[in-house]
Amino acid sequence: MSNVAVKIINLVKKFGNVTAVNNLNLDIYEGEIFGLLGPNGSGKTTTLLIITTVYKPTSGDVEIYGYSVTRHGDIVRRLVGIAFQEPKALWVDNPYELLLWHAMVVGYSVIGARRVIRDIMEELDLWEHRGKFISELSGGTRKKVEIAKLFIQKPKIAIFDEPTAQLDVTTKHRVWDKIKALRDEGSTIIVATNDMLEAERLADRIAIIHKGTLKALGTPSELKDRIPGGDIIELRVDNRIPDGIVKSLIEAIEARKLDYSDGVIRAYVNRGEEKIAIAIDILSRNNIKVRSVSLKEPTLDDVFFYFTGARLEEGRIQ
Amino acid sequence: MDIREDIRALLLVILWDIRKLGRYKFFLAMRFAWFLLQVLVFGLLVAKMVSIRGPLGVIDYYKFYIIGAYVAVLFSMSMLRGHEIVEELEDGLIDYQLSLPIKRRILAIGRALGGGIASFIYSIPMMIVIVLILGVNSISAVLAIALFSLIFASSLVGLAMSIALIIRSSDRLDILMGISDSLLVRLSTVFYPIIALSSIAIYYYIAKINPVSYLTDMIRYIATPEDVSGITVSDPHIMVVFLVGFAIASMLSALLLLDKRIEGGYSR
Repeated sequence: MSNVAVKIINLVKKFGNVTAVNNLNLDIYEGEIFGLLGPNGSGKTTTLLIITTVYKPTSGDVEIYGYSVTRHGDIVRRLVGIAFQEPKALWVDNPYELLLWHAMVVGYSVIGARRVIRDIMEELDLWEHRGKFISELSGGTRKKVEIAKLFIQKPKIAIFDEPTAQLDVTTKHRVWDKIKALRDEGSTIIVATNDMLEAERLADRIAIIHKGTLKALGTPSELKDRIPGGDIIELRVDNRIPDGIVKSLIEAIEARKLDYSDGVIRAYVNRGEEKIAIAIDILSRNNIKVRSVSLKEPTLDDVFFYFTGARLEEGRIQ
Repeated sequence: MDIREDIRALLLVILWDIRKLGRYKFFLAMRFAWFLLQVLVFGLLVAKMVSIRGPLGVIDYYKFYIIGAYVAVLFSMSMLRGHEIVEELEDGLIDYQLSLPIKRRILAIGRALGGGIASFIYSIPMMIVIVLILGVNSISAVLAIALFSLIFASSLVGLAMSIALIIRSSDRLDILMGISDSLLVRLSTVFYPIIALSSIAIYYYIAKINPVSYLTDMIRYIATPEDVSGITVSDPHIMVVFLVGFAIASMLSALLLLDKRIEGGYSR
């Protein structure tokens, strides 16, 4: 994952007095699943619409494999595809005809289009709805029609804007598997989401965006590790622990805080998975029997809170 | 990208509008019924009350009227596409189309042509009615009427698209379309020959530059040349140039505005 597929350079987008994206810089590597995490109104969708050449930046640029969205729009549009947050279809459309039109626009022959559409529609349980008006479909089914466009298109850069919003749990997992399969077939994936579980399950790296600004960037575990004392190691012990051992334990595992009462040690550390072995070793050498061990990691919601000062729900911009 | 890909993309964009045709059967049936009523009842009654003398004698006002009625329907159906474009803007469908691997100019021209073809197809039953009533028995004349109707419908859709991209509100567009429908159709030679308008200067000069006048009189010239000799808005060659020029201008304005639309963004 060394080639930069998408390079966002000092990107700014303003709508009147409102700055939707504020000096954003990002490199997205070929073959990765990249998560844009932020509440509604954080600038995720605006960024995606600039990448897809729907909007032009106020300043800055985005390069797709070196092609500028402002200067090489025709080439960029051949490399990028997007499944929108809100399904895009005429109310008088039916899913089959809409997908057939889309498939042909992205380069399929009629015969090839019919074959791939049937496969994708069957995989997403859409086939039985193929002849209905879009207006007759549930929100979740419409969302699946929107996502199906990208699974048919298989672009070099596939952008999913909140791909599993409105979907049931089973379908969510199926869509996640298909997104991973699309990456395995050679697409670079960008997923914008405000769903923590989705970001954690899918993304190789995550950018946290809040009020149009990049707040943090890294793999999910890197971001969690950046919270001081974010991991909690809990150890249940049989014997009473002398104060000297508690002190050396704090030093050895670099705990930011350690609580000890009623035979339970609770240590707040970074990279907890590495510190567990150290803690057990110290206790064993001092003849203290450890009955159980557990490690609790921070959630991405904790990460978002740490970097933005707001919970995802609170962070929604009106 | 080669020319074949551009043509393929253009045809697919045109197909976007045409594939909606079958879904408006009831609307089209109602429109056709209304047109029949206008031509077979109202037109006959009006023709009995109106007598207009041209340079070569009294004009057959019934023939004059039904061609105007056909153009008025074609006009309103084409301008209706502007409303559809605003709906597509509001529903984000234009964003979807802008994200597809289609050149902007192909998209603009394709939507104007697609809308024009769809409007023309809607109006074919009406065109057949007037061709039958007028007794036009030359295939080339029928094809010429169809061709000019198609060019005009596409021009109007390009114009409606441009207006829609500026207005961006279905409510405001409804009002504007209502006004333009009333003014452009009435301040033209749709229902009155240009010689009858010459006594009201402002009316006369607006009709002289109104594209609706040019299509109406062009069709009259093709279908009933002997009846309209000397009373058309202009010389036939100039009418052809005017209609083609109007088509090019409206396509260009749609193309420029489509590009400007992404330049300015669309705040929702």
